[in-house]
Amino acid sequence: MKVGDFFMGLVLLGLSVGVFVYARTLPNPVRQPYGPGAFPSLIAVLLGIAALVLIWQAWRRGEGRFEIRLAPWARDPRALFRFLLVPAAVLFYIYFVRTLGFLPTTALIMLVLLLSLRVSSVTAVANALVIPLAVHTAFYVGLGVQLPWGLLAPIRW
Amino acid sequence: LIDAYFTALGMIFDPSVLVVILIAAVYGLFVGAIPGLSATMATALLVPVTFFMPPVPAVAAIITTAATAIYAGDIPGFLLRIPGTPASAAYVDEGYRMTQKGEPGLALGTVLLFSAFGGLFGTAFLMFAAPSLADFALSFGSVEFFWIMLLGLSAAVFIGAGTPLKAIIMLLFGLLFAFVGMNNPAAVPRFTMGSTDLLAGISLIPMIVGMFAVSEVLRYMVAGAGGLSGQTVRVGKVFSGVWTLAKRYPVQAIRGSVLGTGVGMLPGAGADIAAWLSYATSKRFSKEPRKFGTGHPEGLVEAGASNNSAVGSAWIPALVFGIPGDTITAIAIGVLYMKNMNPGPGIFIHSPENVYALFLVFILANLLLIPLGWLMIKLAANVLKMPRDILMPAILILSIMGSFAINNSLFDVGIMLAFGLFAFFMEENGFPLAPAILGVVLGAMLETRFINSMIMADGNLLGLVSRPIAAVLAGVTITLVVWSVVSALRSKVADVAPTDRP
Repeated sequence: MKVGDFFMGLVLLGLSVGVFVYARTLPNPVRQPYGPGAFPSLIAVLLGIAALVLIWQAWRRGEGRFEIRLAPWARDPRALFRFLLVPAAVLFYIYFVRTLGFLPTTALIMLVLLLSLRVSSVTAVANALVIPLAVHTAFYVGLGVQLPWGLLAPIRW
Repeated sequence: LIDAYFTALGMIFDPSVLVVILIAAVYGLFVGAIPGLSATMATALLVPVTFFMPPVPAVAAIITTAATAIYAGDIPGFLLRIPGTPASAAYVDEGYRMTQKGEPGLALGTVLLFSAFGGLFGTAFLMFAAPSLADFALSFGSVEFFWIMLLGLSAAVFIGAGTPLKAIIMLLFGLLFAFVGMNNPAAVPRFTMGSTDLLAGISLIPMIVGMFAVSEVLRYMVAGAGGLSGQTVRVGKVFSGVWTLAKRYPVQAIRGSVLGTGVGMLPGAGADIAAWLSYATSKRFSKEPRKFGTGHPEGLVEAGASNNSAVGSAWIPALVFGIPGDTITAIAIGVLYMKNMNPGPGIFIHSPENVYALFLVFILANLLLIPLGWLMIKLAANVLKMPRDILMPAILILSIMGSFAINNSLFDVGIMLAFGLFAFFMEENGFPLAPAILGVVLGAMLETRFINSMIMADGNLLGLVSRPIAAVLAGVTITLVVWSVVSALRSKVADVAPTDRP
């Protein structure tokens, strides 16, 4: 997604105002002239100035004011699908790894991603089995990271 | 001093450390040689693993990976004309022309040997300059450190970046990210939006992995499979002929190393700028400037030595002041903090053996580069054929794993995803990522120094410039900023055409 500098500047300006207002509400328990809100306020002011310059530059260039263009890839359904698969895979991991276990979850993710990249199905299945095992061995056995076993709990090793 | 070096030697020649260095070197060469995988990504993916190591091997792994991955970026650059890392973009065309002339081995061998030379040169300077600079910096107080950091950040934004305004915005974003949590002088929870997971701040490792690995995966998924297969390159002899070049261009090798070392020390100007400058210098002073761009090794000698010497000297501001010169040193500084080896002049007094151990790792990494790099060149034809369609999903799994492993926290996996999407989106709109990571790493310290300085100065802004060194640093910083802004405005008037890339 491509956002014109003008619109981007407006968003950043809004953000800087938000940060500034929020920073002003921070308590100052140590009763010093410069409490926890001081530095964030300063940064918010600088961000606001930078946003204004960005808006001004875009204005002078005469760019489309509220332009939000889709990047070429976003109009290609297959590329868009592959892009969305990445956040979907991560969210799937976050919500299902405890129940399914590390190996089944990552194997599933690998399989879907590999197939989306049009890897031949035999290669995809083989890698979806081997790579999670390798990562599991490196982190669980090698580094002692506790990984959820989930479905495979009965045969854990 | 000698004692500390002996202790350091003992630390390095521990078999486990040597094994870590060797593995890191192979890993760096491998990742760097795969087209589209950058040295930064190699380092970012390594950080979660270093979390589980003792301090010295952890930092050794980072240093070795960075040094070898930057060299290995030349391999796809010369053979396929795809620069593996930005640091080799300056002379990729020259090397590719040599490949077309049937001399890929000579091109890669030249850059390999002179990279190692430049790397050792930069390291020697680092070993000499860093301790003396640290001695000098011992007298610095909060105010001086505040200005030094501000100078470093301004340099990063105005020298290194293509569009300073967007770099500034990303830097401010980085500082904002650093505010999240209770990690501030008053320990007040800030910007946590009521989340207890954010009280300790945004974890650095998931942030780094998200910004530099997940965003790469996203970019690859969008671009689709690259058609690299079918290209086979015969590399031929690697080192024969390099010695002749060394005898013909000794001045170039040294000039490149000196310039690279100097540029590397500047915060924000790293190996890539050093390579561009040295390539240009080489052409200007060459007796045969017309041969440049046609497959002439002279520029390779100079620029190859230059970018690797910058890798070493970038650690001078990093170790003495905690100011990163580029993205990779920013990540490395994050690792130093993680391992309680907080950079600053103090580290040279409290644990000099650790610092010297780092120096020795640099030497070792550059020496290892020669045989391992040679092997990599020989294997290049196979490595270039590595199916990226399989690697990219595997990198996503590794990213998830690495972000999760450090705290056993699924929340951190979410952080990784958020920063991956953020980095992808911002980069697509022409915002550079490096300043953000500088801001994140320096944020907490910058704030502490600022608050301390203001309290000491009793709220009087003049207090920030009342000490002589502080005044000089302030002068340099303000001059740099004003000069950059003025020259930017001038060029705006000169050509109205937009300079941003589309």
